[in-house]
This record gives sequence, C-alpha cells and structure tokens, in this order.
Amino acid sequence: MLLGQIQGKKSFLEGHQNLKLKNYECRWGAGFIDLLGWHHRYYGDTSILEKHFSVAARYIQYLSGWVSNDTSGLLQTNYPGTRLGDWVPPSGNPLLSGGPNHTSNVITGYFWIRQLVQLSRAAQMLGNTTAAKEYMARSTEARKAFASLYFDSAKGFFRSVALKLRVKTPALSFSFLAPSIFAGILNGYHHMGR
Amino acid sequence: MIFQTEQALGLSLALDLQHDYDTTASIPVMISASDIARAAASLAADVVERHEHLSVGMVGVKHLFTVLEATGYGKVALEALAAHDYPGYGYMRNHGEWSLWERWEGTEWKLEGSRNHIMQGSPGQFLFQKVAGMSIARGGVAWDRISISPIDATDTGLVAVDAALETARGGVHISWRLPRNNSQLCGTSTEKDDVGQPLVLSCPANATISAINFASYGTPKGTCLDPASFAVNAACNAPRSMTVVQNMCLHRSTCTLYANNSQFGGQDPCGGQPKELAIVATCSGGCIPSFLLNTTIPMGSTAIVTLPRQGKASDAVVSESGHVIFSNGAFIPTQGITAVRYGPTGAIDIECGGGSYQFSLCINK
Repeated sequence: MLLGQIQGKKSFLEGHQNLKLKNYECRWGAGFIDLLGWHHRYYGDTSILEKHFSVAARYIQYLSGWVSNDTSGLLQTNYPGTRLGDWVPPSGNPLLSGGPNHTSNVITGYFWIRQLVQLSRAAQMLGNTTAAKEYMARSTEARKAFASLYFDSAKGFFRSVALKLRVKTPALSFSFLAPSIFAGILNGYHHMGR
Repeated sequence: MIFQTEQALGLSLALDLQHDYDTTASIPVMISASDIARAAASLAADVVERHEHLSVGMVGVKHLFTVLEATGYGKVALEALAAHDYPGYGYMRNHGEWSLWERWEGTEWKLEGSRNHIMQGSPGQFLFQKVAGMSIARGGVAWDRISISPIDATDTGLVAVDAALETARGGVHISWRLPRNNSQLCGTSTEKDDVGQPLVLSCPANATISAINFASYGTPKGTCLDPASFAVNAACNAPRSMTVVQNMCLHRSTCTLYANNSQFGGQDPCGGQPKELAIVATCSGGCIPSFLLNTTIPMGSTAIVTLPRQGKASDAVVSESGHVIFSNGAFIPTQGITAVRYGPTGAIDIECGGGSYQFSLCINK
C-alpha cells in the first residue's frame, strides 16, 4: 500500500494492532530502517532490502497515522511511545533534571524525516520508483515544516518546546558490525513489525 | 540558551549530511545558507563557552562533530573530542578507563551506568569518515568506490592519524601526517658491539643537507620529538662529532654514519659507558613535503584520494613512492593511478585503483 492510500488515523490503526514496533518511540523504531539502509550501503546485499522492505514500509504506514494535519507532514509530538529525549546527556542539564525536555520535538521530527528518506532510497534500490518518489515527497514536505516550526529565524538557531521522547540506536552506523550481526538485528526488528 | 542536540540535528537535516546514498534529485533548501551559518556559529560558540564541553546525550553526540566540521568548525570539533575533563571522552580515559561508558558521569570507584558501552561512542564514525578520511564515495556501494579525504588539520594541533577498517572488499588503511618541521632531519643511533647501528639521514627528492644543527657521539641529552632539546654532555662527547658529520653529510642528499668509536676519531669519549649518536640537520632545495599520506585500497575497488590544499595551489607537487606524479598542474601517468587534478577548492584529487600508495604533497617555493 502506498502512503497516499492511507485513509485517516483511526481506520489505519485498526489494521495494525499486532505491530509491536508501535510500542516504541520513533527513534527506537527508526533503527530498523537505518540498519536496513546501512546494511545495503556497507555490504551491498540487496536481498536484505527485499526481505525487510515491506515491514519497514508498514512501520512508516503506522507512523503516518500519527502525522499531524496542522504541522504539514511532521509526526504529532504526543503519539504513543516511551519518551526520554536525548538519552543520558550530562547530569545537571535541564534535559535530564526534570525541567522541560526541549529536544523532544526536534528529535521526533528529525527521525521521522530521516526514515522517509531512507525508505525512499531503499525503494529506489529495489526499482520501486513510485514509492521512492512518494516517500521523498513526504520527506520534503516534512523538512519544510521542520524549518518552519523549529528554526527561530530571529535568533538564528533551532529550538522546540517541552516534551519527552525516547531514542536509541544511532551508534550502530558505519561498517563496525559484521554483516551477520546486522542481519540478526534486522530480523529482530522484522518480527516486531509483523 | 541553545541546546546542542537541537542544533546538531537541525543542521544535519539542513545540510543533508545523514544520507549515505547518491541521490538523483537534489534536496530542496530547508533554511538559507546564511541561517545555516548563524546556527552553526551558535552551536560552535556554545561548545567554546562550555570550554569545549558537550551538553548532548547519545542522540546529539552522533551528529555534533560531523555538523561542526561540515560548517567550518573542525577545530572546535577536535578540541571537544579531546577534552580531558567532564563531560568528555578524556574524563573516562583519565579515570583509567579503556572502554566507553554508558554515561558521561562516573568514576573508577563509582559506576554510573554500564562500561564497555557504545552509547556515547557514535563519534567513531566521525573519526573514521572525517578525521582519518575514509568513506564510501557518493554512488558507491559496499566500498566499491572509496573516498579518502582527511580533515583539514591546519592549526588544530592534530599532526598524525592512523586508521584501518575491514570492509566487505578487504582492508582499507589510511595513515596521514603533517611533518612538524618540513625541512629538518633528526636521528639517533646507539653504540653496539664494535660496529654500531647505522644512522641514515635522507632529504626529500631534489633536496640536500645544508646545515648540521647538532651532532654528538657520546651521551647527549635530548629527543627527536623536540630536536631543539638536544644538548652536548661535556663529560662524554667525541670532540670531532660535528666535523665528522659535516664532512660526511653536508651538500649530500643522503648520508650514513655509525655510532662507534672508529667513526669519530678512534678514541672512546667515555670508556665503559653506552654511547649514542644524535644528529639534527636541515635540508634545503627541492620540494619539502607538507603532507604525507599512505593508504591501502582493496583490489577491485577504486578511490579518489584528496590531499588537502597546502599553500598556493598552483605550485603543488605530488609524489607517489618517491616518483613525481603531478607537477605544474599536469598529471604524469603512473601505474595504478588514472588521474591527478586540482579540485574546486585547490585540493588535489587523485584517482586510483586497488593497491598501496605512499603520497607526499609539497609546495614549490
């Protein structure tokens, strides 16, 4: 199913009760699609893309049900999932000490856009140019919204508002892992996404 | 107040730094170039105001260094990486740790989170891709097309890097260094048996030894890590040390001396003591290397090796294993190397196939 066929959040979610990835905030689930892209990038194994693409697309479908209508393509900031923001920054930082978690929305927006781009490129590698264009168009729309919402042009820096999110898995990129370990992690994600 | 994680992620998106695939369509502008510069300046200023310390957790830390380097603040990135107190990697190291911790906090006596943990270790990618300079080139997959492009380390205090990675196509190795004193030679050799160890001094191609700055066979004090530190020990120094070295080396491109009594007049300057020969010399003429890069590319892969611009671009001379391959803006064909040319910024781009290479870059005076 292409993203354009998704009809509303409620009806979309009804078909995805068993999607375990939905229990995880965007950054946790994002590891699935990141690893998929990195595995192909560093080991050239297209069969990995073929095997996992449909589940990855299904995860994006699930997240799409939580895209806000009033933020032009960005994820809602209160969709379900455990939230911890930028995990384990230095203590004494307001991020960790119970103050407003300023990084939450930027993190959510970043990883939502990143997954759309990664999946677009995965689709391109598999020859599915229609899906590739659609995911890329969604990411372009979301990038505009990201800049509009989170870049303070008067002050010249990015900033967001308080919410808590949880994130993980950015350390696994590059060629540091053996292909078999990559494949094992992807299988784990695959089963969570069924 | 800014948050480093927000700047790092926002700028990473704006600069499109995080995709690894070649793209057929360019990414639309997210914020203007001037806004990117403002946000980058804010981020760099925040790191500097914190005395090169971080306020990021495991999400932001992956992107912070890459973004700083990409926006012209590579020196700030390297200084933050090298910070040796809390919060930073040196803090862990100074507590006797050889692995990464889960959290920035903790001591060797009081653990906060687990150790040997990749959590804060994602800048490893930055170290390999940007500092050492190895990555898959745009459009490449599985290291079939490799980019070797070290960081511009000018004025950063970083003088040498060595990195190796086992890839799907074989090992990629890169070792680069900025010679401290481009024209100075320094060597030591110890007395052994009656022969002594040979000490070979060699200038770069077309250069000759023009001065002997220090020479002593005896028990001199000093180290080649700091050639100016050498001093004669009057209690043990062959009086002909300087004369012998000058006679053997001046106006020659290379010379070989032995650390033994017969080389320096036939008399033992201090009987029974182990002796050393130390020489500091200066080369002149020719083209003195300002950047040295050794690399190994897997067979079957191709690579573009980028040597950073040093001085006036038009005067660059590039050698591989001692043979000039680029001079006066022209490529001199050599086996294994398909092209050498100036890139848009004045850096030198070298196209080559699989194999091992020893490149040196010098600037004609």
